[in-house]
Amino acid sequence: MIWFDIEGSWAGTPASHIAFIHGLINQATDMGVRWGIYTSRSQWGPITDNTSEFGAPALWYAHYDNSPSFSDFVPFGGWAHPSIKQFMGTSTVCGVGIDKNFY
Amino acid sequence: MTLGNSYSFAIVRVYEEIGQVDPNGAQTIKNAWAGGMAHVDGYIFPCLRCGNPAQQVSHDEQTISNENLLLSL
Repeated sequence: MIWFDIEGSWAGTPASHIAFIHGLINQATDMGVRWGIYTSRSQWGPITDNTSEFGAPALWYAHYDNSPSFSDFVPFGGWAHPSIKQFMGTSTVCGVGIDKNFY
Repeated sequence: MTLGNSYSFAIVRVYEEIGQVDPNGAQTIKNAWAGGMAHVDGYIFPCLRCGNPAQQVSHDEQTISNENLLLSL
């Protein structure tokens, strides 16, 4: 499946961002590609005004607390439960730069 | 990175926020499977200022198809 990375400083209004995200999702759906959303509460809030209009698709959230556990998860947007957590940023494993995830 | 390090799932960037398919994505996906991953997904970092989100997804999927890449369902 494909994850859409929704983070960063997005110019424009939350409404325009939501329309853009719909564009990504609609194309993936039309092509029969399973998709999920990578984001975090601190990103989703400003970008979409914490919308819940996408319901609760698979959520890969980021919280760099170095804890491979969902116990820190606080609901946001339309989400009550996450699928994957990115718990640590840039780390090096076998000489490769990665972020660490738990599911 | 192989299964020897207890990682079994990789999610590889396939599209960059500057507005292009990630040139390293295809090889990284192939390497992940070759290294013994049980699951390999991709992620798209969309280009907001580029507009046309449908085209970004379409270009990405075209590359996945052209390169015969396998992603977990």
